[in-house]
Amino acid sequence: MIADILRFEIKKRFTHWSILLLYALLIFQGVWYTIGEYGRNVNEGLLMNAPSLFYKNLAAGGLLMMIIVAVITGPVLYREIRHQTGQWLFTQPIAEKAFLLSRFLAAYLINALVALGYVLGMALLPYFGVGEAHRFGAIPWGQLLHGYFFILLPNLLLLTSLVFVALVYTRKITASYLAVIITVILFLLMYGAAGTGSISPVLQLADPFSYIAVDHTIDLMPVELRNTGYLPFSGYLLYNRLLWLAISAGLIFLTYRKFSFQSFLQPKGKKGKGENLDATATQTVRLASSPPKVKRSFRSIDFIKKLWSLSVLELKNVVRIPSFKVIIALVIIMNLMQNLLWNASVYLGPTHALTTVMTNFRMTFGVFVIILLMVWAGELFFKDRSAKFWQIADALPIPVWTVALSRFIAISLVALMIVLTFMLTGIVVQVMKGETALIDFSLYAYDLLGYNWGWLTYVLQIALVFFIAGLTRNRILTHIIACGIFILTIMAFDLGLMEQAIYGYAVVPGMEDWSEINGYGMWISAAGWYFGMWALLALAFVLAGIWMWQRGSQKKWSSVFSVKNRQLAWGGKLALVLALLGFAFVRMHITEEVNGKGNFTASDQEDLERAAYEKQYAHLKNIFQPQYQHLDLILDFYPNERSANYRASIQLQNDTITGTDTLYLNWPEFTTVEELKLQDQRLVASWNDEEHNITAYAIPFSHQKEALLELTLTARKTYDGYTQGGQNAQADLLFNGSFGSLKDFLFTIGYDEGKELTENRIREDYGLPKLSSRMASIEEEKAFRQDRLAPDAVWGSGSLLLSTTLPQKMIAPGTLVNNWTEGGRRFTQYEMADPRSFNWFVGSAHYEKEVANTQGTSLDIYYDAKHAFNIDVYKKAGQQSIAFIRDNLGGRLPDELRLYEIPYYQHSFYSFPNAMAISEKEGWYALSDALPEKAYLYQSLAAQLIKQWLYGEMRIANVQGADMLAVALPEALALLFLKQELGEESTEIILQKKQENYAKQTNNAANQEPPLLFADGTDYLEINKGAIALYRAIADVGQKRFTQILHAFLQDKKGNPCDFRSFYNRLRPHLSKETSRLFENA
Amino acid sequence: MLLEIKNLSKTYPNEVKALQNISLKIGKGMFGLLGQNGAGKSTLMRTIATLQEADSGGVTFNGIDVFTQPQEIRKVLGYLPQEFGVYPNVSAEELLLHIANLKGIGSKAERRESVAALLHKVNLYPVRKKRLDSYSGGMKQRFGIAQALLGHPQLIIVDEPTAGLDPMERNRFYNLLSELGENTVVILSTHIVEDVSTLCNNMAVIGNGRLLLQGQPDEVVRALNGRVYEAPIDKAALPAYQAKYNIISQRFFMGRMMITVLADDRPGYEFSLKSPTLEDAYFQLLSNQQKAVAV
Repeated sequence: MIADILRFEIKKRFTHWSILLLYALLIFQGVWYTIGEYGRNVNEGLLMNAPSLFYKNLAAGGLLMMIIVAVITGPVLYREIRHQTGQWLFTQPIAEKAFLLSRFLAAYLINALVALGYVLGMALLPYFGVGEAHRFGAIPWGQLLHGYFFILLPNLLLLTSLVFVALVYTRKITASYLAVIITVILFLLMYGAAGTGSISPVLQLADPFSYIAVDHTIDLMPVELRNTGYLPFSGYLLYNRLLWLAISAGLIFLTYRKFSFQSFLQPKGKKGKGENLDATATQTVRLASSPPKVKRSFRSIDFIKKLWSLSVLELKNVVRIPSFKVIIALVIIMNLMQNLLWNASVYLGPTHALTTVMTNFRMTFGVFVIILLMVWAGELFFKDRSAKFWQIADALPIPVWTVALSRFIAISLVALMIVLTFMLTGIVVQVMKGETALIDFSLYAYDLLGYNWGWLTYVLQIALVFFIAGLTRNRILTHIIACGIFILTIMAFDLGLMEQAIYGYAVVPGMEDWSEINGYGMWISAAGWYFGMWALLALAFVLAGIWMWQRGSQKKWSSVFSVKNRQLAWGGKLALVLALLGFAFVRMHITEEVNGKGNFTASDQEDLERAAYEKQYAHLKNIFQPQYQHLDLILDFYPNERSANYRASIQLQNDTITGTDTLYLNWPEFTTVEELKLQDQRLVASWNDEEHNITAYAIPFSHQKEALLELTLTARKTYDGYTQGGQNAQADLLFNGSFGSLKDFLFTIGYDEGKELTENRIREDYGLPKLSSRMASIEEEKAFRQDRLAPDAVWGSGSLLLSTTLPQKMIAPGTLVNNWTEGGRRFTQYEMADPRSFNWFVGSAHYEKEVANTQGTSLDIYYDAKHAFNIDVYKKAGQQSIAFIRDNLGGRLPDELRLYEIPYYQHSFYSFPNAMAISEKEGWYALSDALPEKAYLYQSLAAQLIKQWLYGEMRIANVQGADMLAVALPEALALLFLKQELGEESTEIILQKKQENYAKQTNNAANQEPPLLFADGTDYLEINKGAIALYRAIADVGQKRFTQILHAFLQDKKGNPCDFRSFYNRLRPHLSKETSRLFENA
Repeated sequence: MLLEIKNLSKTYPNEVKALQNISLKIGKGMFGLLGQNGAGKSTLMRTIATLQEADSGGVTFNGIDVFTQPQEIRKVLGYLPQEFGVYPNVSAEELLLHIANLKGIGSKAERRESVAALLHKVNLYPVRKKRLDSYSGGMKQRFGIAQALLGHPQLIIVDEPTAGLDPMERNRFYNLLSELGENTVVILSTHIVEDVSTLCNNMAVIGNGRLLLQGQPDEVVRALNGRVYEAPIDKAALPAYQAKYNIISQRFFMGRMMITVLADDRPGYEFSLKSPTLEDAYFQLLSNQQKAVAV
């Protein structure tokens, strides 16, 4: 019998036309996911059809596959209830347990065979024309089947058993969908938690699809193995597979035990109630009189009143179903878990219970809430049809708009209940943690009730479902199209196929870009315009949905869309046209603000422009240009206008053998040069390349080597319009927390290496040669003489007179000379008397200030008033670091030091003359009671203070190995400090973290990793592996001797460029072979 | 009160001609619509109930055009479809109150009073608080009847209303309909001929979308007076009788086959004259129709 049933089911499924659609979808997903995964792995050596990408795809399963599994599995068993065929089928001489097993096996087999489409899509990738031939290896059939059998098939077994257990226990098809959805949610929560913190064994085990364990295993594999190897099933990956196989077996057992023909066919209500209730028919009842006369009213006002009462009634119908209660319970549990257990938004550990951390749940969970709401909305809109009540409902004397809108409102109210649950849970967490002072109701309202992926976003999505329901008049098609549009949109952004919010329905820019200092900044007004645009479209959707709403039997399209169709009144039709016109108008406005004003460039276009810059101007590398030597800058910030006016007197030093006849200046974007004079003569551009912001100025007189060129500049920088998010925050001019390099305001001289494409794969795409190194070799004389921290400047001096709007304070380098307020503005004057590197940064923010004095050095700490949590830790760490540098390293520090908290948009740490800046996310609101977090705060601040000493002593040559001196050395010395102040364990924690970071990132690096001796300034190498290597070197050499060698090196190189190889040569005789290998081998 | 159907035609996309030029005038009282399964009864009912468009023709009720003023018709309509479902998570009382609200009964008290009275009428009052998905088929049908009668409709359309009802409830319902028929137009669509003959003062028969007959049941029966004969025969002899006589129906009675024949004179010694019934008239129509199709 089992064989017969299997044969029948397989034949039934695979002879239906829809199987072709399923295969087409899965092949598409296989191709699409691989392209996306490849895009995320930037390593130049990785093949597009590398088995490692396929293993990840197979583990993720993919949302299309999940939808397909959910849709095709349940009906294999449920159709006996749906079509009431069980009534006669189950009277046949069939063994019920054998029947169940046959159907289970059939469902599993169908899933397994259908899933081959996904495998096929990946295998056939090279034939889809998605990349050049050299990016593909041979089709890894072995690994594909390996992943299919050990990852995908167990996952399908789990899903099939979940669907069956849900069906057998509830006899409801929606329960089976819910089972799949909840499993996917569980997976995504694990995935989200893994993305924000470290990969714990719990996460690797609890992920039902093993994606996290697979990803983690692949992270530790070198690229060669990723291209060819088989995934090793060991450790937590193996345990994960065994655990979930055991769970699947348990579910199958439960299903097997429960299933019987009688129980499966029982009515869905309470057992046997129908028969008992029907006995009332035979009871004697009093003869009732006719129904009383009633007053009936059908005025418009009556319908408006009904709208609310009907909405409430529909709401009650949704919230009383068990699945809704399950979802709400799940939301509460997950939110509590995320905020109490998994909250890890800083480097090492959890943060204080900030409201933004609480509302972040809407981002991690929101996608699934939206999908659920879309499904609920679809079900509610088709409620009359699916309950077969439509013939009664549609013949009632109530206009379509009242019924349809009441359901729209009801599901919107359900959405509101969910976000209020988010909010209440967040507040409960804050109260539980004793941090009621951090409750920010306005942020809760903006994030959760507004359009920042909050309630109004949900409402917009519900409007889309409403429209699709009217258009398709088919429940299942509505679910597929609505969820499909949503999921495709999310994935398109995730995979980088879409970059602008204007293409994602209901998406607004900056929704993830809250800064504790700057808030949502410019994106507040941007999001308002975007929401306005989407709201107008949603209004049109709702009106069109009413127009097309199916009342009665299926109608001809011509009558549905006829203007004579009175389901939507003339006023409604006019409103629909106006809403569409308004949508088009606001869209045009946004396009002008974003694209017209130059606030967005697509990444492909940006790469193209960078490549063109290099091709066109690489010759400037060989043309000698004068360098910055002295700067007197007057700069006025206008934070509210995101604007700055400035005047600069600049002395350029010409140390070329012959005079320079042309100045090539790269201007920062959004800068307007009002006047540029050289030796009091106005400079006229010889040519100007607006696309690349580079201008050539002929120098109108001859000048000698080492002559000073006096340049004066009057300019203004203003940002206007909106960007798309934190990646382009225009952070040098913010409403609060502006922070930028001088080069954000002034020109860069000569060839700007910062504009080069550095990822070899992209370079190849644009016809540029691969880089063997991203930095010049030590033999390149010009680069060797350049300062690593400011390549177009020699060490120089200068002064700054800065002003900003009260109550903001200035961020600046140098020593404070004067400070006063005048006309509602704060003026502050700084001076750099001694020559220092020109890596100056300026900014403006609303700060509180604390002072920590020690051994003649004052350390002023400027922080956001809300973030006083760790000021004492910073003070203590600062004081102890200063003492350590002087006492143990023999270093000299400036008398005056300032530490600033800055928004997180840029790098995490900055150290520049007399000042340091640490990103808000790097400790200011971390919970620092536990040792790991405290150690991180200590070590990171100590490293910046050590830079204050080293950058004052060492002119670091702009050649390979530079960041071993600029970054790795301070980090390693800070580890010594940590060991002294907080003990060995704290140092081991930081070393372990550096080791993990390095291991994770090295295999995902874009270019071939060089040995540390030739380190070329990557963001993961020097700070992690470099620091570990130097820390080991110190252990080999001994701290005292290492310090002596360092001092001797600084003494010998005084005033001359320092390179790491020279320093390393002094260390090498004292190093063990193992430590040497760390520096010399990749 | 007059419901007027003029030249109504409807062809489905699959080329099935559900209604072909149907014209009827239906006044106050109970009107029976007879026809086989698939004859077009439900299509006609749905069309009158504003749920279906027609290709041509018109329907008016007291001057209200069903196609151009559907909202007006719905205000006076009570409709019980042939097949319908219910919302699973609500009780009968809740859903009836909801429908009463949709039917324009603004006062909460009046809604409650009307619903309670109808629940009594259909004998569901004791179980009014129970969820509808726990109701048996007959109880759901009674619920359907109650909703159709809410709001004192002037035009009541009931499509196969007694399906699933036990004899006692069926009786109760017909009594109720008869009461209502005194002041309203009631269209009873059914294939149970006896129901029409006992309840309706007017009737029509449709087959293959065409109007086959219209009139008062007693007139229809009277037309067959003296022309209907019946005889017990051997089952094996049926083909021979079919070839020889105009058999309009056959049935078994006490183990023997009885055939009913339409003839102007007594067909044979074994035949006896029978008092004609509406069922005979109906069967005769169907028989004629089948012959016409066969030709």
